[in-house]
Amino acid sequence: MIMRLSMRFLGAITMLGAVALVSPASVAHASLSGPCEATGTFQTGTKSDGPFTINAKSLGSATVVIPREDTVNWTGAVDVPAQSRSYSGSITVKLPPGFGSVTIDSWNSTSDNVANDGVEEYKLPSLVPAGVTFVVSGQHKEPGATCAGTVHVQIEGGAFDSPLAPASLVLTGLSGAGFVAIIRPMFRRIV
Amino acid sequence: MKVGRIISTAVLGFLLFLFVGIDLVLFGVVALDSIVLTLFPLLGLAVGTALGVAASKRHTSTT
Repeated sequence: MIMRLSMRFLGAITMLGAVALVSPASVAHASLSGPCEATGTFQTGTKSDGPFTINAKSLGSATVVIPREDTVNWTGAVDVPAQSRSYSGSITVKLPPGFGSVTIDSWNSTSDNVANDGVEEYKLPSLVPAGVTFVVSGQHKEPGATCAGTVHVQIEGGAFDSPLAPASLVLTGLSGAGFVAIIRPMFRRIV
Repeated sequence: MKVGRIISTAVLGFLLFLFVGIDLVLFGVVALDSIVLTLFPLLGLAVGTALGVAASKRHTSTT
């Protein structure tokens, strides 16, 4: 169970990409507070840099670019005594101010494990836009340990890798044309 | 002053600025959690309303 715990928290901090859409998670940059450790190794990695490993504790403030699909070897650990205890936590994606956040995973159980590792495959749908910075926050609580972290992640690629960009451009054009058409009287000459 | 024109302009201003904000996110100019996405539609609503009032007055004065 605690395996699960560390795996998911790791997911929050390390493996975000897959996070929202597939199953658990993928890694990213972050600030991680508390007695937790999390690492993730992207086996294929990005087209530009190839395979890479991320350690949630040592990541700076840079945004991490992850591939749209990959297999991640992850590890997670919590520095607490290995005894049965309850734990809980969640992973959220921040939305613009006023819109709160979306919880993409949460957990709540008991376990006596303090570390875990595994392999996770993920593949993000094409609807998820590339090049957009997602701010993902994770938190994990149990007696004697509270960990929290924030991750800035981008999916590798350009805006037009997703059908959302052209659709949004068309809608921008349509609403712009309508807007101009309706305020045209302002620009007519008064004779 | 035509209320219908003002409302139409305000709604279109709202939509225009909303989609511009979404474009900025999709093209990586601002992050998903940026306040731009919150403020832009409101700004569009205000601009649209103001221009709607102006356009409506102008339209009335020419007819």
